[in-house]
Amino acid sequence: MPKRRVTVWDLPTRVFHWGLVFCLAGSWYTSGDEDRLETHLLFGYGALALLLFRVVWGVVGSDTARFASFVKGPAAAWLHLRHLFGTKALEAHAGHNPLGAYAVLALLGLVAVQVGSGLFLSGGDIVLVEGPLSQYVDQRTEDWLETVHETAFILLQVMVAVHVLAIAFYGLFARRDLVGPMLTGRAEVEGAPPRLASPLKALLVALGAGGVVWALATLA
Amino acid sequence: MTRRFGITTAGALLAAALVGTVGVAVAQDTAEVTIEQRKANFKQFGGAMKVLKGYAKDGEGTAADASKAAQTLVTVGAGLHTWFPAGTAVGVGKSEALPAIWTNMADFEAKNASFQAAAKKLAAVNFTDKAATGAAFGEVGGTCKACHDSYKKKD
Ligand code: HEC
Ligand code: HEM
Repeated sequence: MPKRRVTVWDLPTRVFHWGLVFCLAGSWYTSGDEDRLETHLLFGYGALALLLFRVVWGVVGSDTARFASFVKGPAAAWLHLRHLFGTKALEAHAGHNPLGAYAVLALLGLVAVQVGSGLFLSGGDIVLVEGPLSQYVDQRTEDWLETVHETAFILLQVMVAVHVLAIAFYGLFARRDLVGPMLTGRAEVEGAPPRLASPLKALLVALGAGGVVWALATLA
Repeated sequence: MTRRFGITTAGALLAAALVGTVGVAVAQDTAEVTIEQRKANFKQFGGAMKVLKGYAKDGEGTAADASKAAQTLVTVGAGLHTWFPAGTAVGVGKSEALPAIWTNMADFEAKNASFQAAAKKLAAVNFTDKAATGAAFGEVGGTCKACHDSYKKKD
């Protein structure tokens, strides 16, 4: 089958991806130190807005961003794994492979737990810094959620390590460059190019996600 | 007879051990309650400082809110010296109080005294004067920080 160079990751999905990397790195850097707590909350809001955007984009976005198109079930994931270590060439599909799909779900799920628990916490060494929902839970619940927040971050670090190692593995051993496409959006694929959703729709979804987070941060 | 004596002794020892364990557990429990209460009080400090900062720096709230917050620091703070009974240092419950408090009690008390003085000064400020409020607020913040730097665990 002839290969064609087409857009596999639309701009919104790429902005989401690198934005999430930025926000997670930022919230890691500002965690632990109570003097940086206010900045930590800002990075958290950024991650939440990105997450909300991505979940909606996973339903109404471009083909390769849709959960329904890339979550193909454990059997497909197993088959992919066999191809990866077998002699047959990997098929050059656009978008996530069936195994990577689970990594995506795990990463998004962990980010959700991470941000979700953070909303209920409070801290600050001298001036109280409160998550927007902190006032609605008692101290015991808050202490428990703090443990959740810390545990989720350990798991998130493990998942990110798996994610990056897997990408390195594809690059080194399966001769498949995944980083380039996530930067430029373009890759060589067989068959029909994925259908792309309109940038206007992405803008509307992004405004919605940003609006929800803004309302949560200022009104709650 | 000896056998009965043996059983009685064993029973007594067991009972003593139980009472002892329960006693320690209860002491541990009261210590944990003390720590929780202390943290709740400090959290009130933090909340008051949030109101004061919002008022002086970002123009949120009213002079009355700021005055009330300063009053909280004075009234709640008055009891600070009673919040640190022995046996409530780091390691018990969620305490972040460094053991140095109990070995340098005189210095700890001095840091507490400078906080009390700064809080009273803040409470007496003319709250419609935002610059003066801001300055007095900064002084209080400095006394909180001075104590935390020496006696509160950094995480
Ligand atoms: C004389 C010493 C001292 C002064 C003065 C002091 N603190 Fe603290 N503070 C501590 C210690 C010790 C702890 C740790 C208590 C613990 O973990 O049980 C603490 C803990 C705290 C906490 C954390 C409570 C929690 O939930 O873990 C906050 C918030 C706080 N202080 C705010 C303030 C503010 C605001 C001021 C000034 C207005 C202040 N403190 C003045 C010694 C002091
Ligand atoms: C900071 C931590 C990171 C997190 C939380 C993270 C998270 C994610 C998520 C959620 C996706 C799914 C994207 C989507 O479908 O919208 C993804 C995909 C991807 N990420 Fe990351 N990422 C991180 C770091 C990195 C780094 C450092 C790289 C580059 C070396 C990278 C390269 C990629 C690539 C190439 C894909 C597409 C994978 C595929 O084709 O299946 N990521 N990442």
